[in-house]
Amino acid sequence: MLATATTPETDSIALLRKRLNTVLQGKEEVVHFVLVTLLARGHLLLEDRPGLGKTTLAKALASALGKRFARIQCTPDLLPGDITGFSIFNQKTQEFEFREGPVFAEVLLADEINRATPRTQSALLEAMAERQVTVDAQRYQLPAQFFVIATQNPLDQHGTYPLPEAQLDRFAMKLSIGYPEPEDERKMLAMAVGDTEETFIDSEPIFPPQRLVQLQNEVARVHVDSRLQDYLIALATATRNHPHVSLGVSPRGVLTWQRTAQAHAFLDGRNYVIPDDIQATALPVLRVRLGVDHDDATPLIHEFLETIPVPHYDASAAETRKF
Amino acid sequence: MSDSSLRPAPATRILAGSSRNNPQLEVVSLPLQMLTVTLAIVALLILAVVDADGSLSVPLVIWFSLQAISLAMGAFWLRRRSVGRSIPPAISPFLLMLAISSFLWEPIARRLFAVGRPLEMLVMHALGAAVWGLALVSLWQKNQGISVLLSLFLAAFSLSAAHQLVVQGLAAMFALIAISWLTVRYWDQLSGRLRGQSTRSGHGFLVPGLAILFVLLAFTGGRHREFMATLNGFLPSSGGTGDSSPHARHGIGNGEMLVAGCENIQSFGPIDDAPFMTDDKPSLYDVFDDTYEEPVKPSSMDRSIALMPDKDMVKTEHMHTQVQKANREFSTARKPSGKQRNDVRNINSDALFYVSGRTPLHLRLELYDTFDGINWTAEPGPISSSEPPDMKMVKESGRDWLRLPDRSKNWEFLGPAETHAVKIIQLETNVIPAPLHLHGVHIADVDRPDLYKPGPQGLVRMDREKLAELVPIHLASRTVDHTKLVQEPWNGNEQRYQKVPESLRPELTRIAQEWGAGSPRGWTQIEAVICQLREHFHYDHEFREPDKATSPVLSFLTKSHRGPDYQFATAAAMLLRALNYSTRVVSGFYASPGNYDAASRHTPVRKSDVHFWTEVRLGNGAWVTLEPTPGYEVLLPPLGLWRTIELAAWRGAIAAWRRRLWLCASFLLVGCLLWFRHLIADNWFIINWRLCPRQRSAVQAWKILSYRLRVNGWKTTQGTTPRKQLNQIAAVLPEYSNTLQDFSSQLEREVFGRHLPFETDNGNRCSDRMLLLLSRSACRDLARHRDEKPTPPKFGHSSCTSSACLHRPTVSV
Repeated sequence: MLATATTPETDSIALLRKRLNTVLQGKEEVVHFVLVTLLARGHLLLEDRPGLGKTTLAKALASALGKRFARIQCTPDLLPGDITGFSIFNQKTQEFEFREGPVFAEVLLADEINRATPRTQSALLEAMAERQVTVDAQRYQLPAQFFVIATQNPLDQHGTYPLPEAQLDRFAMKLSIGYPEPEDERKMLAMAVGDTEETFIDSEPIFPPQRLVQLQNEVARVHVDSRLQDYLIALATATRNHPHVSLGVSPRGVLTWQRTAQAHAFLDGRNYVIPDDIQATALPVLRVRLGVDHDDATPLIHEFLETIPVPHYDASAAETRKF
Repeated sequence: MSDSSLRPAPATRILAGSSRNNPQLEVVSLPLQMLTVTLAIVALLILAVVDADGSLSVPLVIWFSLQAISLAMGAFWLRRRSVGRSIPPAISPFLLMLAISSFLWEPIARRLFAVGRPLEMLVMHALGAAVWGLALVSLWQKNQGISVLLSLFLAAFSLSAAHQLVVQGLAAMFALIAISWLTVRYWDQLSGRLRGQSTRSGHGFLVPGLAILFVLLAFTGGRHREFMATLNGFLPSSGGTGDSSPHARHGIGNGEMLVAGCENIQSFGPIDDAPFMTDDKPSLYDVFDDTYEEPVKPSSMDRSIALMPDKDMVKTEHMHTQVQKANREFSTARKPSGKQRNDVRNINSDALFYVSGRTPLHLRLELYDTFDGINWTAEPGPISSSEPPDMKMVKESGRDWLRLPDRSKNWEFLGPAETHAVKIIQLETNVIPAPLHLHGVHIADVDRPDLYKPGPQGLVRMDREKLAELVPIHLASRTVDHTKLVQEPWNGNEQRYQKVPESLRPELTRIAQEWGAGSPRGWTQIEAVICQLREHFHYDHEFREPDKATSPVLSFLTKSHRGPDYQFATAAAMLLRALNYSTRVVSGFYASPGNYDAASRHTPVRKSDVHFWTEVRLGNGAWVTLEPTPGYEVLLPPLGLWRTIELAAWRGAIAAWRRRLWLCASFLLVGCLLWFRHLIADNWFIINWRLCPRQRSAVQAWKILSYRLRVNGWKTTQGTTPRKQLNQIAAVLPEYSNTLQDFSSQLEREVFGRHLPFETDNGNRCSDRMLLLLSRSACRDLARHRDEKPTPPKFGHSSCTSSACLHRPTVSV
């Protein structure tokens, strides 16, 4: 049996995972991938029906990280300034003052992003990509741990502005929470008796300041073997050449995929990636960015995973070990 | 697999940046290196056999053994020591020194030990040294291709200089190992072992692969002699350059005697651009006497005895005035051969003439129709007034051909027309040696029919004292399809071809009827008689009947059962005459396929190729060549493709039947190997696992386990990782989930966690437990119980609760 000593980092992550699992009963996978996205410095797109806990999850996450939380309810009349902030003239000082918008929070929940106009969507997505906003020719940096959870309602598409593929590519993953199992729903109801949501939200942060950044840097240093990179490229190439795929994985998507695989390996307690990490993150990573002829890309993704050969586990690679 | 037993991995310091593979560090897989070394050893063995040249000596055996052992051990030692290190810069000068060492040692050996090698052997030994050196360092990718290529060249050049049969077997072994090398190299590239090649299009094995294929085709295409002759031309030779070397391997030690030069070109085949030459050369009848010894001259006492009636027959049948030369008789009573003459090779080629075209070929020069019991008397030549020549000149394709009667339209048994060319070198005759059923003759610049004269019965002569030397004579003729002779009538009416000496008739008739009994009259009966001679009589060129024998042919048929070819021809002719067939004996030359020179693509005909055979006449007047002498064959019409295949298959079946014991043993061995292949492979992998370094113990163990699972029907897709497979096994054997998980982690660590410090003993313990757990029989049971279609993990809408899907730690707070 391998040695399994714990570290403060792994303890923190375990605590965070526990808290989020408490908030979102029976959705360990979703929580896991939220953590993967967080550690991979990516942003998350949740496509699900209302009332499944998206806002609660985001709030609990912000609380656990000790970060500010902001929520935007996207509507068609939402302006870019409502997201980024705007300058207002102060009568007293006779100067324009910049009022930060919700985008300056560390954890931002953008509900029903597909309801905002394309112009407003672009403002948010630009902030996600560059981690800065420009208002009145003035550049404002966003927090280093800026993390966006955007949501979409899969039903009720009337009057919406679906995100184009180029902008969907900015999200690391697309997840769907789904309805809880009856047993988990019963637990949730039991926990809600005599308790309020604020209990979790007002809890002490788990991560000290800058700890998240350190973790993200460690994740970035998780070892990725060259053959696994070849495997990633083979998978990406397969998505680009498939007849039923109109838009394959972009190089940015491959980079994101590698980063999420590193985060998955890190959460698994390893400092090296294995093919299973790549396969485990394939569905959420590819689902957000693959353009397919059908509605659901899941069967195609499974086809890629089953047909592209994994790297060979052989002795020649093991010979080049360094001591 | 239970998640509760999992703990996060220890916080090991992650090194900054991952190390990329350095192309200089790329080593090939162990099987590929072993095959490369084996190829080199086989090539060196071929060279050793060729070097021995039939005389195996102890020093040579010791030297080869040292080479092979040092190469194998050195390669293995270098592999263990050089993993992770770049190629030492001293390799290149080391290889260069090896290559030139042969040349450096040669003058020393000649001076000190008085032994030396010819130039071609020196070059091959230099190549062998380079092959040895390159095979030693073949663990590095960049040395692989050239090592195999040089091994191939060494084997091929050695084969071109080889005469021993065992070398053919070694060549086959080399080819098989080379095919294995190509296969392993291909799979290595597919599996992504050689990262450097993954960016290239994979041409690395193309050149040696094509070269190996070319060699195989050359050998299996049946034209390996020509291939070897061509290949030998690329090798420097110690002959033919005008130098004299005491260390030459062939010839008589005089390099200048092989090729005479432009002033005395007598070794070329029938080509149309050689000058005329005249010289003193042996006459045809000197050739006969040289080959068959002189005839026995009757003593003076014998001359006073009244002539036998057979002798009178000769006088009445032939007009001696028509015999143009006094010695146009051939006696079957010859002197015993004296002591064996030395086969002196003179300065020029010893061929009398050259033949190009298909062989075997019977070239007729003289026809004998009358036999008096001892002597054959030649047929008279055509009388100019009574037998007007049926010859005329026609122009075909810009060439003047002497057209002779072509009966192919009337005689269906004649095969397609084919051409041969004859070039006289040193033979004094004016009769053109030609096959039977000749219908065309072409000699350059000879465009008048009066320059030709008809010879006896289908032969053509030149109207001059002798044929021009070094001038190609093109001949058009037809062969006879024996399968179509069965229906032909055989009743002849020319008495002179049916005369049998009365003293011999009773015995000959008895033997002929005994041999021909049970066969219908015609070709079948003729074949029966000929087969008796070929199968039950022994060809002995030196044997002579005792002087006291009154009839050599009867002594041959009834007592000795052995003799030279003229006895066979005489016996066949007489026996068939006794059965009322018309026959005659023909003398001439036999162009043997065994003498075919692949380098010059023609067949030399020498004194020793003088030959006698029989011809039999059909009822329509056509003659058919019969070959009663064992070891000689008659040229038949060319076979079509299917017939060739059928014959080849039949001969293969006969050859296989003759070697049935060896074949059965081989099949049995191969069958056992195939039946127990999995067991053999498994044990081989186990041995490799026990010998492998500890840091790849889990990898080797996984190789064994995946092999065991695969051969027992455990189906997986290409995208199934070992962890998933082990999870699937854990679903069947939950009590072993900890062991499976430990092994999975160890395997992944060895393959993908190379930057981590090596943990001693853990890999071995994991591997040991796994190999014990998943024995061959356990894998068989697993495959039987396994669900062959595992559901893929689902994300998003439903929770993935199967432990076979996700592997992540859960921590209790």
